Amino acid sequence: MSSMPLLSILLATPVFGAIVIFATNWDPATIRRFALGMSVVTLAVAVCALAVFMQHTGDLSSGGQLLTESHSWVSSDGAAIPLRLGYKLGLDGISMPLMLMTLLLTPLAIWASFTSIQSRHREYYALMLLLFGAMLGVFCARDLLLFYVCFEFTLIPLYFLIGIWGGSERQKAANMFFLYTLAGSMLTFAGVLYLGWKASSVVHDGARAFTFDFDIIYMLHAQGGLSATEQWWLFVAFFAGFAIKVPLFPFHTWLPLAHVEAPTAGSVILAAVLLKLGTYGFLRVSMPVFPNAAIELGPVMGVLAVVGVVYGALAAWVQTDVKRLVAYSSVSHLGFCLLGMFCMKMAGLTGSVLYMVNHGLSTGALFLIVGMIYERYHTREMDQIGGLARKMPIMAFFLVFFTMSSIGLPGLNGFVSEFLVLIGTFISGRTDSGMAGPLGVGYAIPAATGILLGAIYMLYMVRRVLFGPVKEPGHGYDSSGGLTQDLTRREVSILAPIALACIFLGVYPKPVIDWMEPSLSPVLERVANVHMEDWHRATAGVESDDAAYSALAVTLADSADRSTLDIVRRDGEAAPLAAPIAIHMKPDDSEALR
Amino acid sequence: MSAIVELLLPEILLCVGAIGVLFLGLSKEFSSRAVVWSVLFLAGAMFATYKLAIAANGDEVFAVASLHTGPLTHYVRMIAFAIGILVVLACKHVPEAEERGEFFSLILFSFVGLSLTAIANDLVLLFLALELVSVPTYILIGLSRRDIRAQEAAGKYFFLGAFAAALTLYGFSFIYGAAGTMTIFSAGTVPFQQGAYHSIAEWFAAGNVYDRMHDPLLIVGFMLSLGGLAFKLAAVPLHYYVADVYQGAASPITGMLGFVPKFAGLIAIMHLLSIVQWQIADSSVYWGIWIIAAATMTIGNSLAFMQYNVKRMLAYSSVAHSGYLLMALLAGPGASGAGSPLRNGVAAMLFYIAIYGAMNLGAFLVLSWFRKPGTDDSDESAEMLEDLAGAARRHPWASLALAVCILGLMGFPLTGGFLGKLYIFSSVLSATADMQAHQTSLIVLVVIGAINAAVGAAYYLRIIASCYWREPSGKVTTSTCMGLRVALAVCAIVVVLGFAWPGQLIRHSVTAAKEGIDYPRVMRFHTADSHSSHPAESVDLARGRR
Repeated sequence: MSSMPLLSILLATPVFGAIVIFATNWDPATIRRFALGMSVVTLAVAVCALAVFMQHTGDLSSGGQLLTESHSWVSSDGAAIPLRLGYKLGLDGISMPLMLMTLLLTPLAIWASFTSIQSRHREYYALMLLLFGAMLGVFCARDLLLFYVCFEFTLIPLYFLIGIWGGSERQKAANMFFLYTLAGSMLTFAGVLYLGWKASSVVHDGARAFTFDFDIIYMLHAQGGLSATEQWWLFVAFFAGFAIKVPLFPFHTWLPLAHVEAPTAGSVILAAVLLKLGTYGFLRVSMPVFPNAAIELGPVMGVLAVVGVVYGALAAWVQTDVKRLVAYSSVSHLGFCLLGMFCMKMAGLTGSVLYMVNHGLSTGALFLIVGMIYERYHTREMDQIGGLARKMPIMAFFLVFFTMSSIGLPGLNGFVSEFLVLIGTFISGRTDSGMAGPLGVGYAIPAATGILLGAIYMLYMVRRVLFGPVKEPGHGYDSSGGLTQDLTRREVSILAPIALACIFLGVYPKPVIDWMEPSLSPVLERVANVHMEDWHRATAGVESDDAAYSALAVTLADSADRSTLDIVRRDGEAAPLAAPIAIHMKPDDSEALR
Repeated sequence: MSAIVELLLPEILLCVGAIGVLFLGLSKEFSSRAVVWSVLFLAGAMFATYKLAIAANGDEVFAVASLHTGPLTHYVRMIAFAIGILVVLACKHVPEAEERGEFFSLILFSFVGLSLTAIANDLVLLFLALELVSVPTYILIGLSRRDIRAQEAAGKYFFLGAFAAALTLYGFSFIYGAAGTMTIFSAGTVPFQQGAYHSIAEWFAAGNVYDRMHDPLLIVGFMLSLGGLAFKLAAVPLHYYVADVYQGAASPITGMLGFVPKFAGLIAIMHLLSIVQWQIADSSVYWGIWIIAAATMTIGNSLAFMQYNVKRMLAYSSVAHSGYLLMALLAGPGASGAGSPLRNGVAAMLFYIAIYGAMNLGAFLVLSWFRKPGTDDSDESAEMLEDLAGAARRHPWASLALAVCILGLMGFPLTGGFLGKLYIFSSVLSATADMQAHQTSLIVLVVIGAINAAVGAAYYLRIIASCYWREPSGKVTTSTCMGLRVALAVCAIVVVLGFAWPGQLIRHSVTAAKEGIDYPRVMRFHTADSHSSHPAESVDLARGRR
């Protein structure tokens, strides 16, 4: 494998660009070009990384990572438990697609800001690049503390982006966004620390250390380092940070305001990437590290997700502001992501990760288009604009295209992921492919209505904006920034790559799914192991096989209120390992059971 | 050179410097010689400390019974003098021409007091050192501004300080009553005789922990001295003065007030707790500190939240920070993993106070750098949120420095403040392993701390928002003082380096924290030896030490 620290270069490039922009005193045009240049250079570095990644995808099996880098950051020896805080990067099949999505959208968002940002260019582009670096850091991090640092740091640039270049209520929006998110993540912080402290009980390479390394934190559960109660509380602590970020119903109240007030590029990045940090966190931390709690709280998460899907869709339906409508549609779509995750089936998990990417692409593009309309008419109210298809045919094409992608038209990206998520949710309760997940048909049916509602509100929006009699605000379109009535060549080149990506993921998602599956299967295995452990716990401390059988027998006999057959079947289903034991049970023991 | 002179070389150097600087003030010329010499003496004291630390090689030295140095002393001296240099540089423009000598001399004396707090091995000397910290600050507040509010601040600070000092001293007298000696720790070379203890620590070690911790004299003494020391820390219940005093003083002096007395108070509390070998788990002292810490954080942050004057806001934020620091002291050194600040509350506290010193000072220095027309013809430092409005457009670097320091106070990643909070919270969580009985209350304390950090963010953000969002107002100018600019830049850089490259500071804070844990064990060794009650343990400890 390449010895170049590709990921470090990837993270450093935008940060370097940000420092250069902040420190120099160029004219706006140069700054714009430089910022775009730096983001494209980052993309180029990422393409190199991708090339290496594609060569070695075989190594991804069983939770492997590629392009890993590891350096010591803070360490102190000489004590019983040394301190090892690391700078550890790596990519796997979960982070790679999300990272590529980020890498595609951020340069486009920067490019889209060329006309819409009219003041304080230097700070704007420096902050955009800083945000870019922090987002990449979250996806690359293989150390919980580094993950948290980047996760938190994304707040600062966006806070300024909303607060300085946002709409009329920008200050309220920025404060609400920042404080809401920070309040949640402070509890997550306490959880991170508790995990680090717990991780110092894990023996790794013959030694113990106080560390936040994901690999070691993942061992915690296998070694029984976290009791069920601890897992429950930690899950709640991480939930506080992640659920607000996602945002899961009922913690979504900051989102519409932040989206509406943010500048276009800010909305794009917020919807496409920052919301995904929450779902990514659930997948990266909550599920694999606290599998017991994830199963126990799975139904709660499922209910919140379904309520989010339906509520978000209904709320989107009644909006008159296009941007607010798209914002509420995000609440609805992110519900699907979580549903797919907590159904604990491979189909659902794959669909969920794919959904994150697809939602980023189509919603990001929708925000871009809304921004382009806004730049021309300075309004987003559906009452004031209408019939734009005649005035702006190219825009109309893209708007219809991304609407179709968003509502899941077969052949476009949204369909694949929605389908997988719903399949996963439907079969969640079934046991023929391993263990039963916590969700089931009862969750899938209301969620499916979300798709129907999605089609309704999106098409309703398209009809009002694009078709019918032409309706323009009195002043006509604003041509001040070199804009034409229909989309300019620059704007077309911004939307076209996203559209191509949508088609690609809709027609041939296999390569991406092939990356994901080997990385997702360890997550799933951990959850499945929880059921195994139920059985192991029943036989804990018993050495010989005979003793194990009788221990099982005792356990079963203890629950005399339920029929024995039922219990044996239950165990057999839950854990494949338990099944043969039940079958090979000695006759006398079976007698004892009766 | 006699041993005692050698031991106190940095302090002696500084005292000589302080007196010398006082004489420089006699010159009628308006010059910055006082500043230069103060900085040189502080740097000299740092160098002497460095040499002493190398020579001591991590050992602890008792010169006479009442003086004691070790890694902790060196750490405190280094941090104190380094911050001292920044304070002196930043104060270059503060005093009137005819008061320059006195002003810088008093600053130096205050820092001597701080380092003596760490050296004192005697309750009386400890008290004197604490007063040496505070008495110059009473005067400095009054000298720093011509404003009537500065006089009011000095008066308030003085009267409340005198009250708190009396409280501390009263508490010390109870501890003396319990132990029959003023010495805190003894070298243990003199054989122990029944009934006459060489030090309080020896007295404590000679008895059963439970009995000692329920000795009414000791508990009353502890509670009273903690109450008095709360004034130094600006902790609840003696936090009322903070806003008025901090607002009244000139900004660089306010920055100093936020650090020097706080550090001194924390070290004094550290001394008290190591007397009882940090065995506070089953006594009312635990709950005393718990309540003070929780109340300090919460009240400090709530009051700061209501402020629109940045100086008052930062004043209450410094109250809140005392709460975080006390939290770390409550966690104590931790039995199992003293080697890392993540598990060792004392090391976490020592690390955080160093970073806190820089970021707190930095924030006040930015305020001082932005000038606005004062009540008379002179200008004064920016105070209100409006004064900072739009500063980022005109002064991007100063605003960046302010943002860095404020984010540090908020405990945000990419600043040392984040690591500091990380260490404090995690040491408290780790302490649950040592204090089984208090598991829930410690976790509750961390959650209170986390919520407070979030509340804190709300008002810190107002400062940044004002700086970056609002339209510039015309009135604000900037200071031309070079010293201030250098000090400000150093503070901001330290805050960032505290995150990016904290290795050295962590290593030294860990070593320093070990001292506070180790020397009670020496005591146990010697007393145990004379009683020969725990021979095996004493051998172990002796081997572990040297």
